[in-house]
Amino acid sequence: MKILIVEDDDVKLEALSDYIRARLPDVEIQVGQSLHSGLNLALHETADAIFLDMTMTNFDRGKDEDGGRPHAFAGREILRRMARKKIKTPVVVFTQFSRFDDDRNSMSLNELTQELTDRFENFVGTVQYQVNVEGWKQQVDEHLRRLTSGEI
Amino acid sequence: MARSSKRRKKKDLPESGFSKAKKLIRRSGNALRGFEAFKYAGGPSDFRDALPKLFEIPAYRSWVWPPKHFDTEHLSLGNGLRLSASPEANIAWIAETLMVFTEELSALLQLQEKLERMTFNGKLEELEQVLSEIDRISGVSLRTLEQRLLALSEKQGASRLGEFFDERLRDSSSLAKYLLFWAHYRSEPKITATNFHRSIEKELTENRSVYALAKLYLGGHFESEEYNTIRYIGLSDMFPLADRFHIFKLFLANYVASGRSEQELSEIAGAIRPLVEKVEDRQLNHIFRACGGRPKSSSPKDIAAAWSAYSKGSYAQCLRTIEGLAANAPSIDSIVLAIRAEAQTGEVGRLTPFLEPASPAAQIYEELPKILFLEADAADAFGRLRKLALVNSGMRWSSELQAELEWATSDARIELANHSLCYHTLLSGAANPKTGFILEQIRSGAGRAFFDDEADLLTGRSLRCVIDDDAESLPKDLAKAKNLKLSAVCDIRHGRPEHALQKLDELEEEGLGSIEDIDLDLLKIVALTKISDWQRSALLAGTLLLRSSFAASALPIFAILKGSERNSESLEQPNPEHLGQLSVMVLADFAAKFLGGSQELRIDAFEDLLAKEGVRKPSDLIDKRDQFEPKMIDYFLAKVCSPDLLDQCLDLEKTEDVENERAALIVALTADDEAVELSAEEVLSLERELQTIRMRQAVRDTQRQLNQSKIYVNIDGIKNALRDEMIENWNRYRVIILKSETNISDFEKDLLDRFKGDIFLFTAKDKQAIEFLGAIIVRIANEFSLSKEFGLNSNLSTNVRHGSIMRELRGPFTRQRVVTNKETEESEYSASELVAELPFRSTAGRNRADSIVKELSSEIDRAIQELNDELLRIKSDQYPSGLFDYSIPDSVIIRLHTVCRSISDYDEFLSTIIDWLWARTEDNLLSVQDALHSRVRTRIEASVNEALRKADQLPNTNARAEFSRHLALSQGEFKLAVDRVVDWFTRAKDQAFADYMLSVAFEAGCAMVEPYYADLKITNVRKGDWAQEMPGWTLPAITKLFSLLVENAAKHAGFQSGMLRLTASVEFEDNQLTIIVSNPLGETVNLEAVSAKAEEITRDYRREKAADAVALEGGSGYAKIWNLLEHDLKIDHVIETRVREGMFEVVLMMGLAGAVQ
Repeated sequence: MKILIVEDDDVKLEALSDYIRARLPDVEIQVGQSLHSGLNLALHETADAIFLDMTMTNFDRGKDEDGGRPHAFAGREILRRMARKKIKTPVVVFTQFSRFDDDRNSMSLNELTQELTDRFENFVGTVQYQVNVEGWKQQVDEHLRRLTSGEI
Repeated sequence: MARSSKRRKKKDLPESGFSKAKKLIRRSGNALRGFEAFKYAGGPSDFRDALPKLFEIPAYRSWVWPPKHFDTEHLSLGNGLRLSASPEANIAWIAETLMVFTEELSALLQLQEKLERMTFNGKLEELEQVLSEIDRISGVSLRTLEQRLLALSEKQGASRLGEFFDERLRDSSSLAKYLLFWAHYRSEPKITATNFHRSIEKELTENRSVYALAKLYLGGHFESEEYNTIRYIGLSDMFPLADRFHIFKLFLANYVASGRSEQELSEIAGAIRPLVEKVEDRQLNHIFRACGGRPKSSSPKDIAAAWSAYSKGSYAQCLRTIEGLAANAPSIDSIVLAIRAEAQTGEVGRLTPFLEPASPAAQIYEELPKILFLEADAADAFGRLRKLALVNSGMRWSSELQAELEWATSDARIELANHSLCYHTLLSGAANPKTGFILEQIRSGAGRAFFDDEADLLTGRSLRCVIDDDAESLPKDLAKAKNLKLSAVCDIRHGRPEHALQKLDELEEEGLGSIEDIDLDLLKIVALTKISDWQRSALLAGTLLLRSSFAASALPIFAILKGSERNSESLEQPNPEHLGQLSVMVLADFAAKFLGGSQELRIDAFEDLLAKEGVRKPSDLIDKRDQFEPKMIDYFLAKVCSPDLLDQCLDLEKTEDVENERAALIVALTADDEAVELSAEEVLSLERELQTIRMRQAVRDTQRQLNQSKIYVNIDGIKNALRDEMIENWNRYRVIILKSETNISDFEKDLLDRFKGDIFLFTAKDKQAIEFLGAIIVRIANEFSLSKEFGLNSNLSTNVRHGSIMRELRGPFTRQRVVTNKETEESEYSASELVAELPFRSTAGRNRADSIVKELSSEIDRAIQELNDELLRIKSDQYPSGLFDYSIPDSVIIRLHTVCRSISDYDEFLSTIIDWLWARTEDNLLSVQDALHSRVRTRIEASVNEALRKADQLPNTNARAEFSRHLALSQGEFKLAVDRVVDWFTRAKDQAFADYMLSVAFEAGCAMVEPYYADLKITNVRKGDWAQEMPGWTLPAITKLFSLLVENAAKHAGFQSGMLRLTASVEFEDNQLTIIVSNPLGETVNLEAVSAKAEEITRDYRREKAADAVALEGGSGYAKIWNLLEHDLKIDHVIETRVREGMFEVVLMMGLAGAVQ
């Protein structure tokens, strides 16, 4: 199974990829760390599922790259552009935040989940990561179960 | 019987309004309450009967028509009466109260017409005379005061306004003062019409009735039904006659323009009919017509001939007629017609001789063509004319102008007119044929009646055919092209867009002249959108938009975009043909940037355009420019491809790629001015942008290089400083070695010969040499690490410990506002502004969040403090945990001795020792890097996690979510900050800095400081020869010098937030460079204390004192400036700090002989 993780926070990325590897030892994981690299991978690589952070910078950050503009809804933008290209890979949104704001939109995670459900048929659900609470793992488990069983 | 029958008969008769009024007044026992009861209970016929009779009774009259309203010296307001039960009754009440003054009103209207002409033509010599005459008839009114106020503020500014109010306002009515204040405020030069309406909305909405009155009185109108209510019309009761009539018409027009039912309109017509019949007023007549009435025509007939000539295509004749009119009394109608006719004949400025320079008429004649011909500055002209209309909103010509401006943005021939156009058309009272479309929209049949009543107008008759969908009956004497165009309008209006397009294509081939061509394009666009031909409509709309951005207000941009998007989405496979049109891209970009349109659509159009053209990035289109409409492709490359769109291009993978792409586009567009469809101003603006990009890149490269130059020791300085002492020591060391070598025994000699260089003999003399070498190495190591002028510790202090590391590691938290500062070392952390802004529901929740911030601030500061105060130190008894360890074990000295004893050259000897010190430094740097990851990062991340855990325990609200979001974002940024700091701790490479412009060093210095001040925007103005090129090797020191100056300003200027605007100037003269950096001082700064401090800095800027301070952190940083200039650059210099005119100023004069030149 091939899973694409688009996540700009190293701590979250490590936690999620370690957990997925523990559950699916043969998994192949690809990583994008920004709207740009995530989008490139989502559009041009074939994955069985995508775990997608919501708020990211435009480019992968590094010592000499500040990442460019921040995008509060980068994950939604990736989903949207996938939909334009008729790419239907199942997507789980994996986020640490419960609220999202930019200069045009402001919404809670629940509202965002509802919007994504309404707009994108390949959107599977949301997992809220918390650094000090393990509950997110069960939610990831459930999504992995559905993915591997062919339910989604 | 007879009496009984008579009584019964009287009882059966309907009670007259007058009787009702008297009864209610008697029963109420109070005249005011009685009048109010009558006003509330009565209907139009009651008022019609009662009010003239009540007027005849002096005791009653004053309740409805207070005598003070007729005061000819002062303005006094009445109290007004309670409202009537229905809007129509309210209207009837006011109409009937006005009816008793029809003679006065007629006289007032004549004077008003005079006033209209005077203000329109700017001939104000007799203004006061006319105003006094109006006051004599109806008492001092808001209207006359407003005119005087306008004239006064034009002549004398605001200085005499207070006196003016005192003189003219007898009672303390705040309402009158308020309205006059705002009337004056709107005439201020900087106030735009949009801003003005926003301001009154913000200020006045709490009191709905005052807001309703003020907004209408001051030139606004209400589209929303919430305010569009006639119930506030009763407020006009309070005003003198002239105002009462004026305000009545404003409310009435607003109400009628808002889509009323036929029944409502009929009732209004009935209520105002008597007044319309008695008083000949063009505004009231229009309102009456819109309600279905047929007033006697009061429109001037003189312009009709000009309209007819124009419609026949006899433009020269049209102009001659207008000239005749203008000589007497120019009007907006005649100006509009003249502009159109002049466009056809090519004779521009025919009316100029007839218009008073700088008068509203002249301004309209000058500005309106820019709008009608969609010139580049049409939007600005539109803004200026709106302001002119606003300032004169009480005048009928102002409404006529407003209506004309509205027509420029919405074509009511084919689409429904908006409220503003309807409202202003009613108040314009204009005989303009276009009025018929508006009247027809408000009430079916009203427009037809208008055209019938104005049947002598050829244009009016023609337009009636359009309304009736009867193109066959268009008058035969209409010009052929006009006939065809109106026929096309008729087709569009009545659902035959395909037919319209055929006619419009036919007309286009004939060519009708510029203004008609624009009209044709606009009609075509509407027709094309109606048949869903989005590509053609986008192309035409895009072309008009590039002609003038003002066209956006008249174009159906959103309909075109939506249609193109729908076509694109309906496809089974992605196909970029629809959104990928260049014109669609231009429209989508404009809509997103200026009209609040979708950013997503803009990105999609961009993506599709690149795909459709088969290119990966916009610069690939440069070579294909000739395949596109030239103006559109250049606009796309210059304006649409801004960095925030380019960064969505999948082929550009980092910020630098985006900058380079943008730079490539600009270089291509500016390489040959002649070949591009851009104005000289646009080219200049692009060149400036390119300079900014290049500067940003240079600054970033400089910063990158400087960050790798922080670990630095001035080896040349050390060598020079120690030269005499060391040469002597070296010689002594050599002597000791020579002695040890000459005193060896035969046995030792034999051993050495047998093993050649594989063994060393240590003799008693060697021990002496080793001890001596040890002392030399310690001396050099001390100088290497601790020399105040040249050593590592000084550079660590200047480049790292002096705020840099604190700012870099704390920066992510500062930017996310999850840490705060302390006023003093002892005080506690201040309350968090972030927490204060977040909508916590309880004080307890807010306090807990605040505590989390304070704890986090404390933890982070402690961790960084430990790093700064204990770890980033030269290891010593004072700093036992220092990670820069230059202690020298005996084994090392022995090893070095084995090397040095065979060296015969002093310089080689010294280099050997220094190389070892550098090797030792490399080990130390690895320890620092390790400590940064293992101790500092781990500790701070644990603190943030703890803060997140505590934040999770706050009540579950949006505030908590937002608070946690800021904490989480800071965590991600912090990791990158640690990586950057780790990068500092590498030995400065022997970098060859290229020669650079002084401006690059200054901007790099600013950029080093600015990110650390989250709430403070540091900007600068540079003056002087900043393009001066400097030798590359001075770059680190000069940049650091600027960063110290900027940091001083940021720290001590007294601005915690907002903008700090620095002024920096340089001057090169006679081998001397003078730099002056000045900054404003905040209001909280004690100027005397700062002046004293400035003198102290200048006085104490002595080398001895500075040298002592250079390895210490904190303070103003002037000691570090001294060190940079004295030892790194080795130049003579003088510094002076002073406070001048509220600015703190640093003057630095440097001799350039030698080092810098």
